[in-house]
Amino acid sequence: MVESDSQLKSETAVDEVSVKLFAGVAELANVKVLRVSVKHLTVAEVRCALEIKLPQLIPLLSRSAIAVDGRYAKEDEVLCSDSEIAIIPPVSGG
Amino acid sequence: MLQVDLTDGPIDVSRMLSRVASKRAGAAILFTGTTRQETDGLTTDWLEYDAYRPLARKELVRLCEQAVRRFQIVKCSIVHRLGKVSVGEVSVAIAVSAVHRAEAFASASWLMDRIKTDVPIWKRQVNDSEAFWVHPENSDMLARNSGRCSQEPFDELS
Repeated sequence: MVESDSQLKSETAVDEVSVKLFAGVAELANVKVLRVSVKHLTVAEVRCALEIKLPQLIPLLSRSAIAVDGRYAKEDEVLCSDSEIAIIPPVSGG
Repeated sequence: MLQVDLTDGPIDVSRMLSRVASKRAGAAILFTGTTRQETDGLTTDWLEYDAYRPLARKELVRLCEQAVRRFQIVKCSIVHRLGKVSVGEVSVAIAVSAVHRAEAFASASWLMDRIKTDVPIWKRQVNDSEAFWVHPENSDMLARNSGRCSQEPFDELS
């Protein structure tokens, strides 16, 4: 019984992460920091959670990179719940 | 020697060349990018720049280091301004010194191209009737596995 409770918990457990938004993404979301819930702590899951929470971001998100703890991250990268996550839409410096 | 900076005030362009001065260099060049009044038929009153500062600084350092290796330049300095930059004002300055002028010109041009694709800085174009963030197609190289979400929606905590 204890084992099945534990299994049930692991299947439904979610983590919350904080995501920094910039430029057009922040404007579309109307916030500069957003909290989203993810089943698994990966970059890909954060992207999906953002798409589900704010579908209006999808066109720009699909052209955006994601940075974790101050460096560009790959989609399968594993996060910590306190990782600094930032959405990097196409850049336009200069 | 690498010197990069992000600044909220005007860029002191006169200091840029002195930053890259070297007895080893036979050439030193300074590039400045300024806010122009018209882009693609649209009037610009001013630009507003934002950045993800920790990563932008890191990327600028990385680009300078790459330029030193790739072009065998002597010194490199890049300063990018953030916030409001009016027409005619400098938004970015690149100074490079090299043994010969060809490397200096080539590296400055390469650096400017890479700033426009790699460094998390964004401009917002503002005029009387509209304001919009510029997200050019040619910097989409940053995107990875774009928007292919296979998971099912789930109930969120909040």
